[in-house]
Amino acid sequence: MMTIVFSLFLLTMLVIVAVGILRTDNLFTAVMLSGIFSLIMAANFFILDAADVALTEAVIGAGISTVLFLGALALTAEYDRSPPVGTWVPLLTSSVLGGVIIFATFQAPRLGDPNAIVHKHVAPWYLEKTPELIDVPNVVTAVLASFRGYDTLGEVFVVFIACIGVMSLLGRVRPRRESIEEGEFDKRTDNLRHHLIPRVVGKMLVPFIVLFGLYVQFHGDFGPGGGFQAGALIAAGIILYSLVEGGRRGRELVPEWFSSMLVALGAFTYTCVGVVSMAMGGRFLDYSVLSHDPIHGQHMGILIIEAGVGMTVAGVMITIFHAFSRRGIR
Amino acid sequence: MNLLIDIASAVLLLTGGFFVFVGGFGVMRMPEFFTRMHAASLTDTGGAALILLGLMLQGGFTLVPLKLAAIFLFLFLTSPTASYALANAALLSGVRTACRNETGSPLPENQPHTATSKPAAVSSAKASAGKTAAAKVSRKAAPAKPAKTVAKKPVKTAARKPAKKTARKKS
Repeated sequence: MMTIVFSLFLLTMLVIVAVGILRTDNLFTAVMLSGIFSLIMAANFFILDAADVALTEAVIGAGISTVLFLGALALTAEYDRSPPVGTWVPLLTSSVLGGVIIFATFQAPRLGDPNAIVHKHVAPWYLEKTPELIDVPNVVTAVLASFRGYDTLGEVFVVFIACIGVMSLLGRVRPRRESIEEGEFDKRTDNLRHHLIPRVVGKMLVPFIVLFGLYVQFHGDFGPGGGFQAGALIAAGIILYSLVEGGRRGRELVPEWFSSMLVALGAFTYTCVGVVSMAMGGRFLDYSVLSHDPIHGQHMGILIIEAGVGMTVAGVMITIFHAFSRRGIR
Repeated sequence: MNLLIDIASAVLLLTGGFFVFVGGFGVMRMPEFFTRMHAASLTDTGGAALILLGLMLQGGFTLVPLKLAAIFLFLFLTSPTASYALANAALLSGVRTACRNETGSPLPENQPHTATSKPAAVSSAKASAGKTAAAKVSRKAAPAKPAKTVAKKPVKTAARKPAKKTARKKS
């Protein structure tokens, strides 16, 4: 009962915030509202018992993407321009699509229905076999890292390729003029250095955020969390440091060569686990052969590939942030 | 004993809820930005602290009160900082208090700081070019204020630094 009340409240808020994002033409307001949107969405995920997803949404949606949007805003204008095409075509398209989706929800099974198709397919098998084959309390981690290891490898490479794409857009070339190094964004972030209170409190929080990130990383087998969340958390800590200390100090803390190397190293580690397990007589990403007994091997494999995921995610976030922060205003 | 704890936690929770309600009410009803922020800060400090205390009493001798205490500590540190940053940003970008000027009429909200230009010029610019012009004025006007604060600050730090050094030497 309480859950339904909370869900209704949160979903209503979600709609209100979404309408607010659409209606404002101040992009700064839109960015802030989208941060609030992500936070409400995270609370919603948590009510639906998806703690892992909620953690990711809170860190990435409400935290890092807000900062990246602000970085993009520092490079462009603050106000929205009226769209070049008329409003009729987009309105028609989105109302038809929305209608289709609403129609589809009538066909969907009720929330938490045990007879729903998703609960009949492979999910019972995962729940039944996880204690026996992998023996970690968090089934999500078992599914993500071991049963569905190929998918996660694919995801890591998607993140890796996305990073390459963003970097080729934002440019990693050395700026020709020296003044770009002290670009407008850098000046703006350096301005924060004059504000003693945010600086001191921000710096005080950084170690705790990174520590929590490490906890989430290595506790992922037992509780909600894992490489994706931990990587985002650690990156958030370092981005906070860069925000309060200025982009240059941030790049001194984590140099760009290091963060971009981290991206490649994470994906490399993940693939290496697969290759090593092949070399030891198993199949690709079959962790059971990694150690003397299969369950121990599974634990080791999950730990290493989660570390790889964490490295890639943290590296991507930091690299993209640095790319924004070093780019001067046009 | 259990009843006492329940009553205490209920009282704390209700008082906290009251603070949150008053904060929300104040945000709706207060006349301008800074007084609204003052009302909103009630939610952050009084409301959150009392609700967390009430929840801690409900937790009993487990790990839960410690976790809540950690949340309390983080809120205690971050929310005043956020309020400070917000107020500071508002001040720098030219939000004024609702203090009355000589004619007795309250100043319009969101009018940028224009130390040099007259209010009449600002309003005419607003009327002619709309929002973007006003934003530009505020952007142009903003650097005037930081320059002042920046000029002030080195004096303060210069005054403080020797004191710190001597204190360290003594210790």
